[in-house]
Amino acid sequence: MTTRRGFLQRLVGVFAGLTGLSFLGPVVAYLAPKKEKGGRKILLDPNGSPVKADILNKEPSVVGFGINGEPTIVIKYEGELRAFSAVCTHLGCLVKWKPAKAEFFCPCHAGRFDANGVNIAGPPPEPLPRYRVYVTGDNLLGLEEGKA
Amino acid sequence: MKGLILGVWRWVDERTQISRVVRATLTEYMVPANLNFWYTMGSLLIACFVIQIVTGILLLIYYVPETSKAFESVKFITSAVPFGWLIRRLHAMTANLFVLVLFLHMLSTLYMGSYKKPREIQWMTGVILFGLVLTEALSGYLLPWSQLSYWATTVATNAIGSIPKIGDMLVVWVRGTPKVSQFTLGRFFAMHVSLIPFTILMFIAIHLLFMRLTGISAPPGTDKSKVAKVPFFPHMVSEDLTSLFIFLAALTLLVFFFPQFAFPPDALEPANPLQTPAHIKPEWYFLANYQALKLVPNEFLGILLQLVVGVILFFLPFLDRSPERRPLKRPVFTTLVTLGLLAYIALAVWGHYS
Amino acid sequence: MRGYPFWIVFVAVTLAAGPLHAEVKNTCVTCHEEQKDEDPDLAAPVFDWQTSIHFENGISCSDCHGGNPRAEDEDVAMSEEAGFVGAPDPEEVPDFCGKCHSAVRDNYMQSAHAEALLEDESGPSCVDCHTAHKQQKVSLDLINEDLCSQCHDYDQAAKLKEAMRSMDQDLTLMDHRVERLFREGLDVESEQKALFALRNRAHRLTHVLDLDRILSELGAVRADLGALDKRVQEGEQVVQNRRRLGTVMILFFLIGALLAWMYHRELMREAHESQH
Repeated sequence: MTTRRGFLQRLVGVFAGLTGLSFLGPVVAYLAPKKEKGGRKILLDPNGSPVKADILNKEPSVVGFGINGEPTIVIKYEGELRAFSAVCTHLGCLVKWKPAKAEFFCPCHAGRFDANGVNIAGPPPEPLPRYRVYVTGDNLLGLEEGKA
Repeated sequence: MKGLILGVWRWVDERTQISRVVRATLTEYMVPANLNFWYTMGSLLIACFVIQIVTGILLLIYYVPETSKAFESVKFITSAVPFGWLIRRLHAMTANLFVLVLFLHMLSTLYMGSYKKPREIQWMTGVILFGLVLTEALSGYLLPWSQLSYWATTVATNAIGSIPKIGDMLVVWVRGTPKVSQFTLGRFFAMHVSLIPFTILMFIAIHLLFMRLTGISAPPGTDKSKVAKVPFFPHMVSEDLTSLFIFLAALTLLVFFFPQFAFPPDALEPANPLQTPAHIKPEWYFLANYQALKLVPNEFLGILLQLVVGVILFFLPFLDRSPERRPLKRPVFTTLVTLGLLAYIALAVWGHYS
Repeated sequence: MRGYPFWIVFVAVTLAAGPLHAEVKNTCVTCHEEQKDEDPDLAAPVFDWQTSIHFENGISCSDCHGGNPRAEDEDVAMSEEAGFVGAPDPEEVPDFCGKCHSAVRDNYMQSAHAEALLEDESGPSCVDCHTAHKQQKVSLDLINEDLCSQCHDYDQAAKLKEAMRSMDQDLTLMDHRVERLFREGLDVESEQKALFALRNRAHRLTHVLDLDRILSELGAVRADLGALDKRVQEGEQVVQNRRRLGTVMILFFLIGALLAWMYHRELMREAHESQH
């Protein structure tokens, strides 16, 4: 048998607790990470503007932001476009494309990947994730999830 | 399991003395049983401070203190971030209620004579806190970079210019540039989110420390050594909680149903340094000062007069030294305070309609 | 600047900018005004103009008629070199006013009024309805039986007026709703722009004066207004939902206050009893 005092104490405690919780809801929603916007997935430069596809006629490779803002490297290898995540699978540095050796090279710990993104030397434990890449009608670089 | 938890608790408690601190400051801290409603204003002010810190930090996440982006970033908060509108409204509306409750806290102290010996330091830190909170409110006003922000800050900082000789120089120092600009925004931003809040926190600590050291006053006309005592927790905390819930209900009413009170139309337009809006008025708590400045023919004299009132308030415990605290037994003081309050309200209403 | 803070000076200058126009010496005005006794016809336009919306907005003689309002000598002031064009012939009026009111001119030129004006000067031009110098802020009352029935049956005009009036009413209503959402702090920039564009589309039509065409265009405007209505309704729903949440929260806090107060009273009662 609870006393009147005990009963009221519990009720007040519940209300005070609920008040705290009621503030928590909006705060969590406020802090929720932004969802990836739908629409076209194209390679963007650091300023957020699209990268033109014809740059690959002059340069052997180009790095930009791809799907989900992932740093992505697109190379022209034997006339064919290939796109990989530029993030080294070892510790997250960005790889560079060495056209002379036909290899990706990570400057941090000298990891190396071949032209298919497969780790061939150094510490990287996994191949670079690969994307499908195509030139869009307006001369931009379109990207899609999944193997080429 | 229960034994393990109890064991861990004993281990922690033995080293941190938490239970002793809790007993000393809450459950065995005895206060007069006849503390009235006005004694809950202090805890409401702490609640206001906490709400402002929490909502302020949340706003800081998306706010950009740069003149070309500030208004857009605030608009982003209110229109694109989930519950951003609620967080912003809470911050702006609590700022208003903060000042209001602070007024009530100080008025009750004046009427009940609680500033008297031995609580002079509490009163003086309180007056400093009052000034700090007003400065905090004023500096926050500029941050959204709306028409209201820009012009209210322009007018408010201009008042400093009426000080002879160094006035013009001071205005430029406060603004960072001759006109309100990015440099003003930078200064006010730093003041608003770091310098003043930390200073307020420090003074709150001193204010509370001295309240505990001298003990809370009993209501006037009662002898503190003779009235019954009750523990602070839960007896007084439940009273504080009652006020807090009423406060939250009032805050919610304003936030959800009267947002225009904190955001008049000029607050919804981005700042335009080349176009003064038609009805630029300060916030309600500066209206009396604004009207007083308009009435006194010499602007410097007007500011000086307000400064004198501030100084008198600050040194009040030394000017009024009789131990009598009952309002009716000190009619001159009570009449003065009441007249002052009425004049303040009249000036504010006049300022609003002028 | 001390004593006159920057903002006071600023406000004063801004406010003075309009009326100042009239205060700068203008020889067209002074010279024509002086002739009010000898040749009242030459002075009348000045007095008419002073009652017009052009005057209110600081549009002066030379803005329409050209010439040099600073020159003291009348031959210089009204010389060809100063760009003086004087009073236009009736068929020149649409282009004369259209220097500024170009969109209205384009619409007017498609009207039966314009056709009749250019054919044999029988159709009314701008000044026949709006007057030459005492133009007021436009209102649908300009379409009225006295004016229209000078030339033709009022029937068509009355229908046109009614269509415009009901359109205006709907636009004004929408304007209030959008304004309310704006005051609530919602982002209604695109809605405000859409409404502004719709209002322009509806108003420009007035001068085409072709009832069938106006009715069909107004129908199109009304359809777009319907689309806007859906968006505004969504906003109103958001406001409504917020209010509901607010109501629940207020009730919750008030119950909390009641419980805390009852708890406090119970504690104090117990404390009181234990002392006796």
